[in-house]
Amino acid sequence: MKSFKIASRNIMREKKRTFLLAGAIAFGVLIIILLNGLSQGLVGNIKDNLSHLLSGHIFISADEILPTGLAEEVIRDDKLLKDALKDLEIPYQSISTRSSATGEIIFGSKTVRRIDIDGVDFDQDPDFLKSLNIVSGSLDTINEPNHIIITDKTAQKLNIEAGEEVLFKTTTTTGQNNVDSFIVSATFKGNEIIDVDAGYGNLASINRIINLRDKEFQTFSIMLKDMEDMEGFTDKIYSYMEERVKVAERFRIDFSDIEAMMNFSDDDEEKTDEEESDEEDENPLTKMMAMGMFGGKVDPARAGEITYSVTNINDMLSIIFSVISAINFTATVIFFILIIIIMVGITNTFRMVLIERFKEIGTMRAMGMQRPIVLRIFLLEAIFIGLLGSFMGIALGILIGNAFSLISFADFNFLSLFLYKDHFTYSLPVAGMVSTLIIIPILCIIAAFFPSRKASKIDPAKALSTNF
Amino acid sequence: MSIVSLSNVKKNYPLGKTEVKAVKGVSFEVEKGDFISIAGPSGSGKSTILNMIGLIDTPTEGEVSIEGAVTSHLNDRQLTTLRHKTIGFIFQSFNLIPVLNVYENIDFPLLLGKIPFSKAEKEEWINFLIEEVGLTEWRNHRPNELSGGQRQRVAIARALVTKPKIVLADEPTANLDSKTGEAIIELMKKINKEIDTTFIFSTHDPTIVSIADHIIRLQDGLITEDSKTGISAGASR
Repeated sequence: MKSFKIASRNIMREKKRTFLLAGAIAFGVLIIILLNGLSQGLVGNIKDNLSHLLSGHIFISADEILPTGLAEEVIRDDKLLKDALKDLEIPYQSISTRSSATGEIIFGSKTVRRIDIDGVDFDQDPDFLKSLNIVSGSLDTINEPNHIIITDKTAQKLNIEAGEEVLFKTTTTTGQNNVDSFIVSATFKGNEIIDVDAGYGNLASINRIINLRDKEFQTFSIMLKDMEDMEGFTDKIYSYMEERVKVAERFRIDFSDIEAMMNFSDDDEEKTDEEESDEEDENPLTKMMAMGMFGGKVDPARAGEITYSVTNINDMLSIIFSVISAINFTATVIFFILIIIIMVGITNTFRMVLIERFKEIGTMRAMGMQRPIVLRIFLLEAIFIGLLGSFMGIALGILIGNAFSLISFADFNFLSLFLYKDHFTYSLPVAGMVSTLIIIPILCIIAAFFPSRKASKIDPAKALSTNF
Repeated sequence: MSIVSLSNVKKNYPLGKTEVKAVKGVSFEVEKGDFISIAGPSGSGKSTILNMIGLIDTPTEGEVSIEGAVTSHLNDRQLTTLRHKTIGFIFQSFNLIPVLNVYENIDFPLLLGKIPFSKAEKEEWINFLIEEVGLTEWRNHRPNELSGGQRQRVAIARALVTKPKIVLADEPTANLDSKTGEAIIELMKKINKEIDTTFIFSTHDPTIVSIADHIIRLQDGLITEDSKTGISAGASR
């Protein structure tokens, strides 16, 4: 306590020097706290946005080999999946079973050449419709056969209104081309996060056009109560299924697919002309939504073989996360380079302090101060400077991070996946803060140790005989 | 029993490749309550002897005893503890801590070890010392706001705050004018009588030397005169 008092008095003696040293530390801490908090917020936003868009955190799909040797994406029975949820006691908020058809939608002379229409079991997922922002029309008829809803932007491109009939042309996973007519019950505000042409219909209607039966589906999505547990539960589900059925290796989408998935409206508009084309539909979103891969023709003898896939949002975003990790790593490297420079500064400052206080240390030793107390006082001063710098850096980091999150990026569409309501999110990097408050004082102790030990070894008689 | 006893104490310092014999064999005793002056010109060994009595330096040969106990076998921690309990220091250049005020400077040695009294007693004792050295009005001032004489008064009060049995003062008047110097010595003598603390001070000023009850004169590291024992030049060789 006495050493504490003396050390705190000492660091306040040379206020400018103390604040300059602490300021240098604060600068390093500021960088790490700011980048940590922003990247943490970024990751959270990406996960939230995608889980909202894809109606889940964990996805299960399956490829079944048909007698023709072609693989079809389909899950015909959800018993195994529901058993897994029950047996593993997965705390989920909702589950949804979906199919997806990707193709082109035609109205008169207008064509939208790439649209994803999801089949949703609205009875099973009643909150889904509530989450949509209806622009025109009504949802009353959505459960009727061949009724769909599309985004307002798609409707504008086709120049249609709710109640009108369109043609939807799609290719099944086995390569069959199907066409059917659908009535547009309503238009809803398109998702701003990933600006694609999209629509929804009831599961049975969409299943029909992709040759599935009423209760069959392609993707089983699980929305967890807490996204934090996603990895653990994905692993549990994977292991559970692996024990019972054939499961493909964890699928991780690559970064180019994410970029392609985020195709923007500008590109689409170019393609709404009346020209016909035989181009294959390669929208990776289809692949992503279906969570399966188009396989080539295999030996028909394997007919009936089903391979499940279990994946989650993290798997899809592993590349984005590795980019974010690289940013964090770079920030950490910069931080440590700064800290090494600062440590050299601290060592040098303490050597100066040692010279300045040479006589004073001699006086204190003469008056009865023990050697370990001299060492302790010096080290405490280093800790105080470290803590002062850390707190200053953390406070500044939080302040700047939060100020940054007040800036609206509404005009930057390409950032929409990373934003929450047009703003970056600054998430308090608690782990970073705690580790900073531990690491920095330890580094300060290391930096100040040798001058401090030298101070504790000062011979009082020699110190008192000096004239400086 | 003498409070301080030096027995054939010698101190050699290395100086480059040679060795300087600062003290060449000194023996004397100091009684409790003495007001003793160690006099001699520069380089006669006054400071070295005071450092050895103050346990901040150790003799090359011979023995220094404090209150009858020999000190040569003590380690640094034991010497420091003994110093804190038994000895107060007054320095030629005051050695006050610039950022602390008068009260805090006097209080400072009490932060360095166990306090033999309660907080209230401590405050009362420091206030008494401030009054004793005549700085009541200056108690909240910092050293740079005080004159040389006032600073040395603070140093006297600081040396006495732990209630030491011995106060060592190395040339306490060297940085003061003669009038102030005399006043400081008179103050030390007054305190010496009032609280029965042994004062040992070094000086080369003949006026100040004469105020002491017991005078030890040094020349080239040897005692030339000890007023108490009547030893004169060469006797302690």
